[in-house]
Amino acid sequence: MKAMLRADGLTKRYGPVLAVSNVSFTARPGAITGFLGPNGAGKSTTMRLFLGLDKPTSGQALIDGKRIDEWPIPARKIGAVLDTQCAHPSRTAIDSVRWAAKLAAADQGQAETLLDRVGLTEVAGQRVGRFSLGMRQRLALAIALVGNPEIVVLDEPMNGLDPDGIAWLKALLGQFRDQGRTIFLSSHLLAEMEDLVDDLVVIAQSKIVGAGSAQAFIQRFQTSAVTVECDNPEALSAAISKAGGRVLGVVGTQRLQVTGVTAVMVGEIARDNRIAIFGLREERNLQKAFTQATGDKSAIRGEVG
Amino acid sequence: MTFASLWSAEIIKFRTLRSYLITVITAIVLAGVIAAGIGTGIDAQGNIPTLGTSIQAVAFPMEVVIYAMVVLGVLIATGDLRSGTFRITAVMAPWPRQVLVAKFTAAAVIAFGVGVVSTLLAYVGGLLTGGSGYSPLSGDGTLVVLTTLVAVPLATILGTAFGLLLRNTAAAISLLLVWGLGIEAIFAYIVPPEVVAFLPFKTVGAAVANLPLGPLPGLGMFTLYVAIATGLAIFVYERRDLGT
Repeated sequence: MKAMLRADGLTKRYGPVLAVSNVSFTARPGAITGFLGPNGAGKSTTMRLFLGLDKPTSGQALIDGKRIDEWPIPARKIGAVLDTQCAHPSRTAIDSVRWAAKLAAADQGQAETLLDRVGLTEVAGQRVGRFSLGMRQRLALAIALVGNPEIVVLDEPMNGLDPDGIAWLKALLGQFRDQGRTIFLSSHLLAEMEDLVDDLVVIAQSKIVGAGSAQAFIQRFQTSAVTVECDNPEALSAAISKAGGRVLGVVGTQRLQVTGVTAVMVGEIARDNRIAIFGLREERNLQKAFTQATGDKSAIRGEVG
Repeated sequence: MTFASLWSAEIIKFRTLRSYLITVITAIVLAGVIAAGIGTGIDAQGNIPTLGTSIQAVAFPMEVVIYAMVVLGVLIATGDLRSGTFRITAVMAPWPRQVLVAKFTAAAVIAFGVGVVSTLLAYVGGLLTGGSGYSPLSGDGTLVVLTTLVAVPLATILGTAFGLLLRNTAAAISLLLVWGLGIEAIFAYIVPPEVVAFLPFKTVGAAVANLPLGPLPGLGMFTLYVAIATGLAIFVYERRDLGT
């Protein structure tokens, strides 16, 4: 499986609102690509453009080099969960997968297998209207996987899942990655994304503000901060400032937050000044990098004009 | 992807929803019961007071079936749209025209089956209570029955098209039923029969037997109205963004 997603100068305009502006990126096979952005940044629109639900104003959204409608059985190439509203509330879970299996030219027995895979075997005969948000999320995933697709696109797949459910989903996505599939997912749960994604595409106000490996993104957008606990914060503050660091603040009576120096440097400064350290950690995470990258672009709005 | 796959998926969607099956069964049972009720009013000359000849013992119940199938058509469309099923279908089969044609065709085939069973039940219902004057197939009777039989699936397609265009169950059903049962009925009193005969729901069913257009031209007009609505739905969906 070597299918990839590629957006090439993708632009979508709804009347005066520019929802996606000249977006270009690639989601590679065998990797999980996180798609991050504030509300209204254009994440869902971009996903809809890949899936052929919306038509681009200009540019291309290509699935393994072709538009989705150019594949004879698209469900074998790409499966997507855009919404938990995925089945008629009066239809049973198993029947909701069966009709989709027909469109994916899949074996009808595939429906049972998939419900088992997403943990819904026990409720296969129940109407979807009785399902919790987490159960609907699992059902939506079963429907997306009905064609055993090479590419999986998921919009906020962790919404409604409990911690066990999130762990299960992360393990499943890890399996997909190991199988060489292309996984492209958006989520607001940045802490969950941090240890899951290999690559990142970050969008803000309809434009890409960063794309590439997750680690490179974090390093690019976040200046690391060091938190240190010691017996003499005043003396350490002065020493760190003298060494070129900047003290961001003092928390309580013993904790300092500093920037501009590494944890190793803080340790050496403390040793040289005979200050006892109780705790020392360097923080560099996706949440902070995301905030730094998107900056003041987090308002729910599209670009007008 | 073959058309057969699209069509099969639509049939699975239909038969796995109880509300659709209830609509179908209700329509069939109503046809028999209404026919039996009308049959009791048939006199020795084969006439029914206020309705016309005994053809109405079959045509009138079938008109009820036509309206029931209009409602079914709306439900088939809006049920898919409301539940997200239509969007998933559009991702798995990103060819709106083929998907809609499969949907229209599946709805029509189901409705045709309903029409055949309903017609038989209506005929038998009238026969059970109609007595010696019961002769629904005399005169234009056979033609009226046959054109009504064709009108039933067309009515379902019409309902589906309106459901797709309005994207709202209540709005689509209200519009179609208020037009068919209300506005056309009012027109029947205020405009000449030659004009009334061209109103969509007067071109087929019970009204045909009493209006000047006749069964076959009436069916032709009804087909034209359905074709316009269907064509418009396909035109709109080929251009509409489906994700929003």
